[in-house]
Amino acid sequence: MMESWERSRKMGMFPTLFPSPVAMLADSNKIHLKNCFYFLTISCYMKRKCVRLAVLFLLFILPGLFNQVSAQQAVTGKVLNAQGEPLQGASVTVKGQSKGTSTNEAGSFTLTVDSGKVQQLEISFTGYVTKTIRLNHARNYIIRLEDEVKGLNDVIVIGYGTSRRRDLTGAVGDVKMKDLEKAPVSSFDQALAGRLAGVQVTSEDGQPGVNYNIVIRGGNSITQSNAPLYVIDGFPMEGSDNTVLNPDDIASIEVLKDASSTAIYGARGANGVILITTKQGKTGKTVVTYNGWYGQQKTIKKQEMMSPYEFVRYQLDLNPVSAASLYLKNGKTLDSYRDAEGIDWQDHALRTANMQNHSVAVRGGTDKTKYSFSGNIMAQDGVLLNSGFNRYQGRFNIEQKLSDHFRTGVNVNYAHTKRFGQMSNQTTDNLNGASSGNASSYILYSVWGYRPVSGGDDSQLFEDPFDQDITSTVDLRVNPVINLKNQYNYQFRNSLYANAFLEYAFLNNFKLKVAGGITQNQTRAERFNNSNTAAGSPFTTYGANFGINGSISNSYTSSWLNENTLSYDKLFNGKHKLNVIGGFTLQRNDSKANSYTAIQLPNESLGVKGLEEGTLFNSTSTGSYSTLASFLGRVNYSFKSKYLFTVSYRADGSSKFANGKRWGYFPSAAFAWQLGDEQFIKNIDAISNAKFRVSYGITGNNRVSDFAYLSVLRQNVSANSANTNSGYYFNNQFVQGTVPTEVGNNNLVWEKTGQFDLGLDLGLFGNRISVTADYYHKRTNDLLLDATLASSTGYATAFKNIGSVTNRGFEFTLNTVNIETKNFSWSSSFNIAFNRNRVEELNYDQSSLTTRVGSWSSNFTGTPYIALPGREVALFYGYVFDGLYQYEDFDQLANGTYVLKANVPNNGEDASTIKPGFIKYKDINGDGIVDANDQTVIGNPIPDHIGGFSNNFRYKQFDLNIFFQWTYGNDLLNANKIVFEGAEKRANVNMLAEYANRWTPDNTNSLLPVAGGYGPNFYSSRNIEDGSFLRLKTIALGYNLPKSALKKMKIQDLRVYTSAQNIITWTNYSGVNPEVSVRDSPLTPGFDWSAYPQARTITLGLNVTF
Amino acid sequence: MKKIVTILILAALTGVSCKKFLDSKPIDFISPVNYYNTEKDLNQALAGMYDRLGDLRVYGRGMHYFMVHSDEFFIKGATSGINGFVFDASNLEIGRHWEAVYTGIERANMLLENIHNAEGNVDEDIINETRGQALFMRAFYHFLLADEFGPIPLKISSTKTPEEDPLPRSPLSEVYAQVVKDMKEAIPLLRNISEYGFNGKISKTAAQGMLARVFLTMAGAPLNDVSKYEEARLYADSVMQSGEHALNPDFKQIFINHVREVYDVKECLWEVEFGGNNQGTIREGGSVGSYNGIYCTNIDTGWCSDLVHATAKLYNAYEEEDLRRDWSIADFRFVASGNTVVRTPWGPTEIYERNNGKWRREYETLLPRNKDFNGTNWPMLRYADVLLMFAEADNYVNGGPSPAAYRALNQVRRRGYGKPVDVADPTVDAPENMSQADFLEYIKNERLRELAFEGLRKHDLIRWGTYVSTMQQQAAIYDATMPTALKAAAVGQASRITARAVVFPIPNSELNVNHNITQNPGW
Repeated sequence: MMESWERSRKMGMFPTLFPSPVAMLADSNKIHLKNCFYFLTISCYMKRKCVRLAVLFLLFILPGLFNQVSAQQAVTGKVLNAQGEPLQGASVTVKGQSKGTSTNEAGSFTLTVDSGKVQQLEISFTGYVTKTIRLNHARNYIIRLEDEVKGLNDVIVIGYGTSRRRDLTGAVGDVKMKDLEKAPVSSFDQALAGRLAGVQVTSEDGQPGVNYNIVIRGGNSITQSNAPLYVIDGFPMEGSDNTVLNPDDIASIEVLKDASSTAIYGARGANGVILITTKQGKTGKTVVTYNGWYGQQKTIKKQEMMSPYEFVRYQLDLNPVSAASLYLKNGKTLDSYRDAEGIDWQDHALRTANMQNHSVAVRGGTDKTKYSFSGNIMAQDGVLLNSGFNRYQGRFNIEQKLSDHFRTGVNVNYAHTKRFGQMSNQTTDNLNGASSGNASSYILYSVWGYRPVSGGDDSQLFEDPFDQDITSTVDLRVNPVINLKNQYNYQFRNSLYANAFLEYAFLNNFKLKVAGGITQNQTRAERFNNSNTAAGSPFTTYGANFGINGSISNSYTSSWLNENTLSYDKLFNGKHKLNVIGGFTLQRNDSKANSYTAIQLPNESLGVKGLEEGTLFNSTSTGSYSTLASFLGRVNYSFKSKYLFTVSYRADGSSKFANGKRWGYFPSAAFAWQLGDEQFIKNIDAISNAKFRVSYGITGNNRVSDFAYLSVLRQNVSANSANTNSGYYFNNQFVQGTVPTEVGNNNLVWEKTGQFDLGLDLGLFGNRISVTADYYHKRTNDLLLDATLASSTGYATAFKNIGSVTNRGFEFTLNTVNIETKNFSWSSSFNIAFNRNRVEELNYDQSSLTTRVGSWSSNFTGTPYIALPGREVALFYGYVFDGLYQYEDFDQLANGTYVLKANVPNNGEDASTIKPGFIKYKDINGDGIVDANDQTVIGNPIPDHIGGFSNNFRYKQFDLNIFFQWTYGNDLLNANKIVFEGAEKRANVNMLAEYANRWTPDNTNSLLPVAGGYGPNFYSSRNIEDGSFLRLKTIALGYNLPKSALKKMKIQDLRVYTSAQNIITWTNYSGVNPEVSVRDSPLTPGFDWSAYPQARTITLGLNVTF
Repeated sequence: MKKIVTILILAALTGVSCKKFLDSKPIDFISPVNYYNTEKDLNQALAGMYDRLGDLRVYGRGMHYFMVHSDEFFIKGATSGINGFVFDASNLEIGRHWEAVYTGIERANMLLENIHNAEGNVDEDIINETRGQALFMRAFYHFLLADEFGPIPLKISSTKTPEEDPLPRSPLSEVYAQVVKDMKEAIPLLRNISEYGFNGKISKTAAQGMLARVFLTMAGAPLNDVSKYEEARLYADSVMQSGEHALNPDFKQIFINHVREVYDVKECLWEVEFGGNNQGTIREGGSVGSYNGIYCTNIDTGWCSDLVHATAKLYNAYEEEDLRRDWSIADFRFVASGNTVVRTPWGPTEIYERNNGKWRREYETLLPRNKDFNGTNWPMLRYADVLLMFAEADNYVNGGPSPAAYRALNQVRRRGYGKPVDVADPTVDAPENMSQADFLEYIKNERLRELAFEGLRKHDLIRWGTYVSTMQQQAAIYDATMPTALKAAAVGQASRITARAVVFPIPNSELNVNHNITQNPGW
């Protein structure tokens, strides 16, 4: 009867106005006829369902009536999966009691139950939907468990608690971990792109072991980080290093997007929150799993460079005299190079690289203790010589029930990672802050640009570390293969995350949880430039100046956290559900760093261990800390689980602000309406679930430097920044300078983001189709802007609360079960997100904010980015490419020279230097000259929409996952094309293959400038390209061995699979990879220069569960 | 229930200690309020203030060539960027120059405002001397900018908060009035250079000499306040009367001394001091000789970029016997041959090919040489300049050259020919009985000869009001006389010096965030 009533209620057959039968059953074992009558009455109350209910009544209530008196009874059964194979290790418990067992190899179980009462068995197993069955006459049960699909009753982790999905009031995206696991990656963020609506995940390039950038619902901040707050097992961290986590350890990833869900993190919630929960042990038999895979990576695409013939032809065009002396000697002619093989440096500098990953975990538990131990080894070589990433990681967590009231647990993660190799998007000659910023100092400049033929003996060119025909003082090109092989560039990191809690449950409804944790990260970067590297060779400027050199830098960050929360949970009258949580937390973050660089090292063989023998060139030692104290509270109230209200409030006090400005207050409110429970929706058969959500809240951002409110005096010896460098020689004696470097701002306060969210969750046809749609509008005010100050203040920048930015957008997620049969199933998940970012206001009435790109070429000093009020935070800015000058633009003088006609504008350089075939820019203001006033917006790096499309197929024992990801409508600035299509006028540099088709007197119908005709070093629309792409990102094909076959080997599950990543990319982008942003910041996205090549990966893997 | 009460009490207690928990103190920097207390503090603050002179966009490099285009040199091959005089308000170098100098002003202001912290701890003479230095430097930095940009924001107090409204431009006369006021206030506080024995700090005569330059500037364009000639004469004269200074008998030795880091406090009143070769933690080297010197591709010999080339006008301004010519304009270059270089003379007709030869890296004493950086000092004010300023001002004040003016001029000339400075020598002395106008013209050329490549020619041409016309003439001359390989770039550079080029544009880095400021006309 209980069950019948439950079912009826769940099906929404009658309003819960009627008292529960529990009360009526409480004092009697007998079922009075009166009660039966009562039931019949209420059943009939439900007019349309009356007959059905009556049948149910007969089926479930009556047998119970006649089968009550008995003592103990043995129940046996068998647990099978959907394919009918026995499941070993499934847990079988009597509901409401601690009595339980687990299934054996045959999937069978035996259990003794009291037969006096109505009993239910609960059968659960990881990866399957927990099933409850009611016991009846039968003694033997066959139970089939369905594969787990994320459903409405799944428990989702939210800030400081959990919630059933159906009870959520906020916009929370949860990652389908099963899909994510299909992509073998070294850290979870690499597989996150395209998985969740509104979560933009981008890589700067393909460098192994580098964190991805995650931006949720568009960037709020202009100058500060837009990275979300990470909460790993309850521990909030700004700036988490995702490479220290083993993806196999992650049980769930939830992304809190709207203010209703993030406001509980108050001052740090404005960029969204990513909650990561690691796997815990489960009651039952110890489960041992092994996941391993082995893969090979290969670059997706090669940069096509000129052939030896085209290269020589170009050299002869560029410098006829000197090129002829190099390439046309010993009787050689241009035609001699037609069949020359030359050296393809990419073939030698890039490689097919291996990667492998092995994880072992032991998990299990009793009703008192749950434990999980796991370890991981991951080794990845990069596709560029001598680069890669390794990880050695271990984790354990134990949860212990001390008594009926107390529960405690610890959770520890330790990782040692090693990243090595030249960072391809950084200069090779960076001597701890003394870089030339010369384009030719980048590694890929040499890989692409190093000449294929020397005119003499090419094997000499291949073996010499430096090209004899290059003036090394102005050209930092080096033999890329020798340079790469000799690089010693390591970053070692030790990372410890540890936390523990004690929970005390009292007075039935109260829970007090005291939790504490620490994180410690220790990073050591070592670099050594020996005599065969670009920065250490006596044949290069750096080497000549500084000799063999090296550096070590250490940084330590640590933080501790204490969280104390008191929660109260109660259901009143069966319909008012109240959940209240209040808490107080303290956190402190410490950072320290030190480094030293030494030059003129006498003993090359000692490597970095011999640094002390050299001359100290640079040393730093810094330290800082900040503290945060917070009070938080949240009330969840639901009425009949139909009307859901959430109110939260957090007060954060941060040491980063001056006394009196420290506290920020962050309220939020949300309302959700389970429309699906309303009769008028229930009448529509197609709709199985519908929920409407609305929320508004305020969140903050305190990402300023720890002491931004204070003015600073510093004594910097060798800092290179123009503004802080200090010191002077008096009487040939150095005197340390003490200088004001920062002007403090006592009025600084939190950056505040107000966000409105409107959401709809819809389930159709028995939830075979589920849709989530959200509209949001967020406005960030009091922007913590590292504002550019007028130089006349004497300071470059200072933090100010100035300006505002809005982001509004629409997110749409569609999950469908397309086909579901015994042997075959197909389900899909599709998401798309549109975000519109707009700067509302900048510093004062600043009309624009232009930004340079950090050192990539000292020749390009312009500002290719602009932020304009009313437009996006970042837009490409520069000149409009207007083709090339043609003969008709010139007057030919008697001596044969061409002089630009007076009415034809110049290209920013002197008209007298312009020749036919030179690059031409649009004179936008029509004043006859091209200058800075002719710059305009030339592109938009921010996508119109992003998304992903994942498909899961299952045919018998096979499973197949196909995942697409895209970005649409964003532009990229292809700086590789600037340099390798003629801007680099240095001799003997190879150019892109297409530059062979440049303008020549015989080929005037070209848009590629004549050799040497690049004109001024401007950024122009010529190099802005559409960066949209659709990528077939993952295909994973797996085969699950039949259980019957595994039984003999005492193996529960065994899956072998093969998987490929980055398989096909459809794009118009002409560069190597459209997913690129080597100078990634809110102001400078989408810049492509010397990016580490992205790899296509093919892996073979094995998952075993014992 | 008891437990709940306990918890609430505990929570309340923690709340109380919140303030203490959130009171953080910086652990790796100091704050202005607790500094400027000791003599060491003051000296370090002074070092920080002087430091901006050495910035690469100020006297570290910029003022050697790319900020001071004139008729004495052109920059080889430069058709773009500031080297080619192709730039606008967005130019990085101009922006950084402006920024560096204002940073220097801020450092001086901070020192002036906080120097009272030292009262009682530090000897009053030292406080006064420090105050004098800070006042002078604040004035000098303003003078430098006003000379280059015209009316500029006058900044005589430190920035207290980033939320302050940015400063507007002050009229040029106000800026100069403050410069004069600060310098005059500084002079009595300063010490004599003989007490220092080195050139790096501002001495009494250095301030007087520089004030003479300020007055001479005010007397010329654009202020044209001719009453200032009198004061210029007066201050130059007080330097001459001080007994602190005399001409070095050997012209080339002045510059060898700079390169060798040897002080000559008689000849030089003030130098920007550079030190070291940037090969260690201290990087205060400059680039005197490595970007404006004799082309050389070998680092061990003394690398130098092939940028600054003498003009025929400069070359021809010297007489054959004038020893200054072949020192100021190198008659050779270094030709690389494998790993060595060969000193190779120029032919007699190869004039435009020649580089600035004043500071020759081969004399550097600190080894190993760095490609770019060395310890060579940069002369800010030489006694010869004071003599010529005196002569120029005197010529105006007296309606023609007085014997004193002749004496000053001829001292400079005789030294240039290697003659004793105080012995009249008709073979080298300036023609007698020149008219006021002729004498002025003579002085102008003498300044060209004596002070070539010292970053003063552009300044002089501007105050004489002939910068634009001179450069346009030069463009025509280059076009007519220069070898083809060099011509285009040089003609371009000179021809771009049009009316607007008398001042630089206010950099965009200022304009974009300073709503109180306006751009210079034509930019």
